[in-house]
Amino acid sequence: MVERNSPSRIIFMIITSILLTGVAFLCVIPMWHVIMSSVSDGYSLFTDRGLHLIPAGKVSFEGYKLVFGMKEVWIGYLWTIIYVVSSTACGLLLTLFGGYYLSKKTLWQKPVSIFVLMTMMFSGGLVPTYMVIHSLGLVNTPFAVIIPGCTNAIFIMMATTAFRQIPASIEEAAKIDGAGHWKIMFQISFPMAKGIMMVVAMNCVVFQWNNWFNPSIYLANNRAIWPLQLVIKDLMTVYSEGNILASSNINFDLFTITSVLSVISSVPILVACPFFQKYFGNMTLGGVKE
Amino acid sequence: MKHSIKKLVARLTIACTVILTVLVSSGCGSSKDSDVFTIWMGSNAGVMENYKDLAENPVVKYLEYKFDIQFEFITPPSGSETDNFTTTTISGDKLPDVMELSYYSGATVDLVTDGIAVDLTDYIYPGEGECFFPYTKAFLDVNPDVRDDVRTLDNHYYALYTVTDPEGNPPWGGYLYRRDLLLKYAGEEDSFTLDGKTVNPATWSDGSDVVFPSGANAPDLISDYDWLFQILKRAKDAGELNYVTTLYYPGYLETGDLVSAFGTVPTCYKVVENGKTVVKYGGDSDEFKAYIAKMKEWYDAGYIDTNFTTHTNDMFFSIDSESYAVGKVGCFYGMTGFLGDALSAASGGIAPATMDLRAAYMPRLSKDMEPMGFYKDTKISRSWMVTTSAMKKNYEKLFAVLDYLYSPEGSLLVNAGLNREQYAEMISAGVTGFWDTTVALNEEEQAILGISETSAKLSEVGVYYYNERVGANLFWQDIETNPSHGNTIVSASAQIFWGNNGTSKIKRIYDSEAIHEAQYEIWSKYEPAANISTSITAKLSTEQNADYVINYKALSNFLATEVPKFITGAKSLDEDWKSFCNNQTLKGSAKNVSYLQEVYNALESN
Repeated sequence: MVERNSPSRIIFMIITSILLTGVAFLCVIPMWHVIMSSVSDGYSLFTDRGLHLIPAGKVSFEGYKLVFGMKEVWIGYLWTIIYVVSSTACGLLLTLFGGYYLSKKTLWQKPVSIFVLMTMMFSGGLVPTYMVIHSLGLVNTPFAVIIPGCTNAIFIMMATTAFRQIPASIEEAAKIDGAGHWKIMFQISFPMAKGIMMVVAMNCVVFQWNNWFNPSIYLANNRAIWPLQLVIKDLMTVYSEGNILASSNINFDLFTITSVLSVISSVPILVACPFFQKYFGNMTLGGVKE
Repeated sequence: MKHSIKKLVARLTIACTVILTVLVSSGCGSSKDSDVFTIWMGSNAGVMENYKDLAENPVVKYLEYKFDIQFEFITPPSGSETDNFTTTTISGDKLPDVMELSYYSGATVDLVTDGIAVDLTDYIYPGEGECFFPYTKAFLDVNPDVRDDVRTLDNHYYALYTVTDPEGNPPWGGYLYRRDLLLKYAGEEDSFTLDGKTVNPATWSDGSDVVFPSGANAPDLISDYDWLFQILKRAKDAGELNYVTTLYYPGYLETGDLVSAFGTVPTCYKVVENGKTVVKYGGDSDEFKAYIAKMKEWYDAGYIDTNFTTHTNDMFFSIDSESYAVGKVGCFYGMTGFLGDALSAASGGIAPATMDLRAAYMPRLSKDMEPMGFYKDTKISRSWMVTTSAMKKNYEKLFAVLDYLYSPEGSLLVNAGLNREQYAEMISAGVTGFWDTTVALNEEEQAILGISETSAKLSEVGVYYYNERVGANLFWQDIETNPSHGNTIVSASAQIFWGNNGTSKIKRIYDSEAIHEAQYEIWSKYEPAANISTSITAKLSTEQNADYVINYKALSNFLATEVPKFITGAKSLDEDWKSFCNNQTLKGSAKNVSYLQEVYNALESN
């Protein structure tokens, strides 16, 4: 039987489409404004503080020339990639192993689960955390950024849930066929939890890409290993309005730098996202369907 | 599926191995030499623009060469300096050897008590023992005003300070007005009598003959500003301006700009009466009332931007850039870089081509008054502490470097970056005249310093040299003969280090254009003698400081809310002034005055 759309459904679809288009517009507009500002003429940007849907004044790429001429931006990119890859790899390993272990009925399952859950509810705060990281000798090393933020209790609990949803019959069948723990883990359980792997991986990637606060605390005294976001934060202060205007020979192109920095920090993630779309297609929280 | 997972695991393993190798090697620190000293300081735009690694600064390289020492710099992210100072000082065993104190709001004595900072008193004024800071001691002795700022009330020296010669530090900002519009709209009806002669603005041609009713060539008295504003109002009525002038959003500036024309500063300030320093509070004074009345008069006359209270995100030196940068404001507080036709030249046609911004004096009510409070870089700026970490190394070398920067030669060094031609120009301009300060030293001090007629001359090696280790002339390679670039190098060097920045003659070389010379003369005519520096508030006890800060913030917030209401007429100066004053007393204005007076009394009795 062919179902025709009822008038109410059509109206509902139209209203929903308009609302969602409006929301999408609101999400895109700020980004578009920043992109347009980044290719604007510096003086026009200085004199016109409003919304820019087209470049202010004549189109100018002077801001990009200035930014890409800064060595620390490229070094920041390199270290961001290192932090993203390392933290994601570490996070995946810890999350999957931790989740797999907690999904099995063992002697220590309950105490460890409670211990992990407690970290979700309580935190020592900034200074005690800093003192712990410092006492481990990690401050001003890349490990201070990679290790603390690579996973968390929520991810481990999600992985636990995902592994619990794998039918026990599959594992039993594998055991009957002679598979050991490692084979079951790597060849049966992990492939069936691909969805949760991608969730954790994407969260780690996005978190580490945007992470500036932890590096500002733990890497503050080692500029050589600053990630891109921290470099950008520093540059935005260096090229603040007051500092630009303080020169006796003002370079108004510098007013585009903050927009350019915003663009270069966002574009890689925006460009990479479509390539991961296929992995979200069939993803459910559990990652497994009977 | 099996094969692809195996491949993925293999690739991940390789990637992790490579990355871990990189990480471990980058995480490894080099072993610390006892001649290697770390300096922690806030990043600074002028410095960071030219030297991302501050150890590359030619000043630093020369000092390393001269004293056989090595420096490493730590600059935390901009905006995180205070947090980083806290986390660095609590780390205990890995303190930098020298730390900038500008981001520390507590009492320096607490840092000494906690074993973080070194008490330098016995090294500067050792009595019978060895003096490690002879130049510093001599400099403090011949500059008692600096010494009073630097020492504590009980004559201890916990920090070293950057001291800048005010004459060599031209103001970067001040009042500007559109002289082209004055020439365009001033007419015979604006004539006035000066020295018995009638001055007719209609006869003015190119601006060089502009004179104001006070007789000055730039607005000087409040009456000059009245006269100027009534002319600029015609430009506003003709549509050439959005408004004649504007105010900072609270209606005043805490440093006293414009307010001190009426003889007060809207916060705690100092005056000298009968040879003694007296602290006063201006927020509830009759003079401040007179200032507000004048602003209200200007507001009612249509001179002041009616939206001035809305520009809360703008800096006081850049209020409403959408208007002034396109030539739509007649008179405003601006920067050196705006002078003349600089804005219109940079605007690419956005600002009027005829726009000609000229400097105006800080206003005053009458010729027998001087504005005594306004924003200007203070003589004493940044402060630095030597930490206990340094005492575990060859601290004598570090002290030798720190002390050298207070010497006549060392203080000039902070302005390195001069190329060969600029150096020659500096010498021919008579920079050696700076050496006159040695005359103030007595014979004993000269003997301690080893200063004589010949040794006081600046050697060539002191400014640029061929460094064999680096293999280049460090000071003048890659330095462009561009005045603005030169200024950046000068300011970058001056801000990287402490010491006595006697920069007067050197800076004047770069301000060679007539317009900048005029601006320099006009904007540096006065000194903000009434402003109380942070080195004084730093001498408050911990309890006093805590109360002082609370009262200060409460008073600032209160004035910022109430003063605009008086200016716009929402409140009456006649009816509401008394409660306005009473509220300030309740918020602790008198207590803050008493705290600061205690400090000055103690300094003057010691």
